[in-house]
Amino acid sequence: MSSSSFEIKFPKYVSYRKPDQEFYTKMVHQDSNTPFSGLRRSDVFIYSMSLGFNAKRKTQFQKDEKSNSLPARAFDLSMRWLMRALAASETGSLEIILDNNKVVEIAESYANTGIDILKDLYNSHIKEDDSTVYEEHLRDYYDRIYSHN
Amino acid sequence: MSAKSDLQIRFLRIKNYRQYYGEQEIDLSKSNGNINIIQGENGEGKSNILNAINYCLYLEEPHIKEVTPLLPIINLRAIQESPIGSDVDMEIELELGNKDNSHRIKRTVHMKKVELQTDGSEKNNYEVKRERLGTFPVNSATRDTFEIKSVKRGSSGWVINENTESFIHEILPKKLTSFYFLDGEFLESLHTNFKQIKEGIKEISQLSLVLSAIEHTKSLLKQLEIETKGQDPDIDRYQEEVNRCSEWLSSTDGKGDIKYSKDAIWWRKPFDHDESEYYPYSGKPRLDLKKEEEEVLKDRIAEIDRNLLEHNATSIRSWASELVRLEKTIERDESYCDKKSLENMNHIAAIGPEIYLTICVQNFIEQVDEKRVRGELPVKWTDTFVEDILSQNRCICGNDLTDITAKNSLLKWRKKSKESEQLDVAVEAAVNFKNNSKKLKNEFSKIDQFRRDMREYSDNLDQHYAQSKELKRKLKDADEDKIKKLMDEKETRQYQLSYIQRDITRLEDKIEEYGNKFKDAKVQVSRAESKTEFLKRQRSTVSFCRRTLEHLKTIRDNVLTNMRIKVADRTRENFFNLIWKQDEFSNVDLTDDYHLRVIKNGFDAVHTLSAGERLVLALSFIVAIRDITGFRAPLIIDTPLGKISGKPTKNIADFISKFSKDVQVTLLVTDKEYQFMDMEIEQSFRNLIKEYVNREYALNRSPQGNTTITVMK
Repeated sequence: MSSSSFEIKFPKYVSYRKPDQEFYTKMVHQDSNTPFSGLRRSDVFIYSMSLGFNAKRKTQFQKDEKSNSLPARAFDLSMRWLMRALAASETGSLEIILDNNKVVEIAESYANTGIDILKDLYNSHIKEDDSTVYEEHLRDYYDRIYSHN
Repeated sequence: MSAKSDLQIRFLRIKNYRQYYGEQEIDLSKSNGNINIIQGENGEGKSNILNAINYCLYLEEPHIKEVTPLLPIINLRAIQESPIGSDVDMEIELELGNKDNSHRIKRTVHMKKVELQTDGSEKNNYEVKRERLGTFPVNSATRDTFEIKSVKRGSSGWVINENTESFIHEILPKKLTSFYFLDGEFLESLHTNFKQIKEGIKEISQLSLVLSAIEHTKSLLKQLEIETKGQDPDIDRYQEEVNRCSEWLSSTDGKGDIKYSKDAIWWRKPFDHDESEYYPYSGKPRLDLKKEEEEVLKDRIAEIDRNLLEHNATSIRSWASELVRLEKTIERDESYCDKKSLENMNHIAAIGPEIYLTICVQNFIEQVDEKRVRGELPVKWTDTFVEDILSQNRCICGNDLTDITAKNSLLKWRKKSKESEQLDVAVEAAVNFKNNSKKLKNEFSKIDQFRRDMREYSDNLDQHYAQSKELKRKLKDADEDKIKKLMDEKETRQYQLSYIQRDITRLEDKIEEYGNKFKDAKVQVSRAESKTEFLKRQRSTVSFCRRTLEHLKTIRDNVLTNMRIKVADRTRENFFNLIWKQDEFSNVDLTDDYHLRVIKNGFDAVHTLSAGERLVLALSFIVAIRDITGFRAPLIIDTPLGKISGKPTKNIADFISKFSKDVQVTLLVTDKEYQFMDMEIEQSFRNLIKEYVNREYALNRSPQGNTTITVMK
C-alpha cells in the first residue's frame, strides 16, 4: 500500500479540549515570543503530545469537552508518524498504526496532559520574562536521555 | 445634459450663508479664458465657497473648519438684525451647465426666530445644536427646502425637476466630489489616502449593478439562514459563528457592511483621540485606516528628516544625515535579529517533539526491526516471494507444492500476511526516524552558535543605539528651538509608528485567525445542512446563492483590478508629462491595496516627495480618473499652491492652463499664492496664467467678521 492511500484513512479532524482553544491561539500568535510564534496550532498539539508522553500521563476528554478543531491537512507526514510511533510504543504493537482513529485518540489524550505542562512553561516564561524556558526544559531532557545512552 | 459635455458653474448666489451676510453673487460664466480666481486670506471664507456648493448639492460641508460647526449655518448678523418672531432665510443657488443648457439648483434654510430662553441656571439651556445647521435658540423652528429648476436657453421659463437627487447624481456624482472639488489638504495627502483612491476607482468602474446584486444575494442568503434557523441546533451554532466571524471581518477589510461604513473621525491625528470615537460603529479597528495612519506617520517623519537635512547649518545637516543613516541600519539589524530569534524559537518547536519522544521513537524502530528480522516486513517483498514459489510449485526447502495441504498452508499464510501489507510504510518511516535521530545530536550546537552570533549582533546594535542617542542629544542641544521641537516630534511620531505597526501585525493575524474560523464554521454548517430533506433543499439553494455571490465578487474584483491598472497607467503618463525631474523617478504605480507609489532608485519614494511633487502626483491621479470617465465636471481647487514655490509653480501653472482648455477651473487662492512675485522664477502665479483667466474675485472681511465678494481690481 502506498503512503498516500494509507494517509487517506487519517481522521478528518484532530481534537483538543475546548477550554484550551484560547491558549492554542495565543501560542501561535506572531507576537507570542514562544517557539510557536507564527506556526500552526497543530505544531502546538504535537509538542504537547510529546510533553504529555514524556510525563507518562494521559487525560481523556470530559463530556462535551472535545472540539474538532484541527483539520487533518494541518498535520504533515512527520507529525502523523510521531503520533503512530507513540501509539505503537504505548500499545507495544506495530499493528496499531493501521487503526488511525485509535492512533489519534491516544495522541489526543497525551496532548491533553501536555498542554497543561506547556501552560506551566508559558506562565514561567511570562513571570520571569524569559523565553528560553522552553529551550532549557528541552535541553535538560536531552542531556538526561543522551547521558544514559 | 450629460456630465461628459461641457459642464460649468455659471454662477453662485449666496444669501446669509455663514460669514456671507446678505446676498452675494459670483458670475463664473465663460467670457475669455476658463480659469476663475477667488482670492482671499485665511479665514475670509474661501473654503466656505466650496462648502456652499457642496451644501447646495449634497447637504454636506466637507471643508468645514473645526470651530465653525458651533455657529449656525445662517449668518449671525442676519439672525441678530431680524425681529423676534420673523423669518430668517439662508439660500445657496447654483447655475450649472453651459450657454445652451442650464440648471438652477437652490437650497434654502428657513428659521423662525424666537426669544432666547435663559433662566440663568444652566449655560446650555438657551441654545440647541441642530445637526448640520449649527446652534440655534431653543424652540426656533428651522427647516430646509431644496428646489431644482431646469431651463433651456430660449424656452419660456424654468421647469421644476421632480427627481432632484438623481439628477444631481447624474451630472455630479457625490462620490466623485473629492476629485472635482478639491482642497490643498486633500491634494497634499492623497497619496496616503487609500480609501479615497479606492472609492474613486470603485465609482468610475460603474459597478453599481454588480454591487447591488452582491447586496441582494447577501440579503437572500440571510433570509435563507432565518428560514433554516431552529431546524437544527448544530447549524444554528455554526451559523452564528459564521456570522460573527463574517461581521468582524467586514469591519476590518476596509469595505465593510453598511453598518460599519461610517468613516473614522480622527485618522489624520493619530492618538489624539478617544478610542470610542475612533471606529464609531463597530468599535473594532479597520485595517485600511490603520495603514493610512501608518503612511501619515511615515510621511511626517520623512518631512521632519527633510527639514533637518535641508537646514542652513552644516553641523545640523551632517548630524541629521548620520542619524538617518544610523536609524536605517538599526531598523535593518533589529529586523534581522527578530527574524533570526523567531527562526531559532521555531526550531525548538520543530525538534522538540522528536527529542521528547526519543524513547518511543526508538521503541518503534525496534518493533519494525524485529519484524524485518522475522521476515514479516516488508510485506510486498514476501508476497512476491510466495507468488514465485507457487508458480514453480516447489518450495525453497525442496517440498513439492502440488500436494494440496502444503499449498493451502502457504496460501493461508500469504492471506494473513497480505492483511498487514499496509505495515510496509512503517519501514520507510523507521528509516527516516533513524536518520533524524543522528541529526538531533547536532541541533543544540546549532542553537549555541546562534546565541553567539546574536550576542555579537546585539553588541553592534547597542553601539548604534548609543551613537544615535548621542546624535539626538546634539541635535536637541542645538541652539535653536525649531530643531528641538522637530526632534521631540520625531521621537513621538516614531513611537506612534512602532505602536501602530504592531497594531497592524496583530490585526492581520487576527484577520487570518477569523478567516480560518469562518472557513471551518462554514464547512460545519454545510455538513450539518445535509442531514434532513428540508435542509438538503435549503442547502442546495444556499449553495447556489453562495456560488452566485462568489461569481459576482470575482466580477467586481476583476473590474476593479482592470480599472486600477488603467488608472495607474494614466497616472504614470500624466506624472511624467508634468514632473520637472523626470530622470529621478523610474515608475509610478498603484498597488493592489490602492497604495500610490513613486519609484526612485528602486524604492518607493512617496514619503520623501516635496510638496510640489506631491501635488503633481495628486493632480496626475485626478486627471487620470477624469480622463478615463470622460467626465468634464468643473474643477475647484482650494489653495492649490499652499507649500509650493520656485520652478514647480511654473509647471503647475502650465498644467492648469493646459487643463483649463477643456474644463472650467476655479482656484481659491491667497493673495500671497496668487500675486506675490516668486523670486526664483521672477514671476507671480497670476502672471503665469493671465491669458487663461476668465474672472477674478476678491473676498473682503469686515471687522465684524462678515465677508463680501467683489470683482478684483
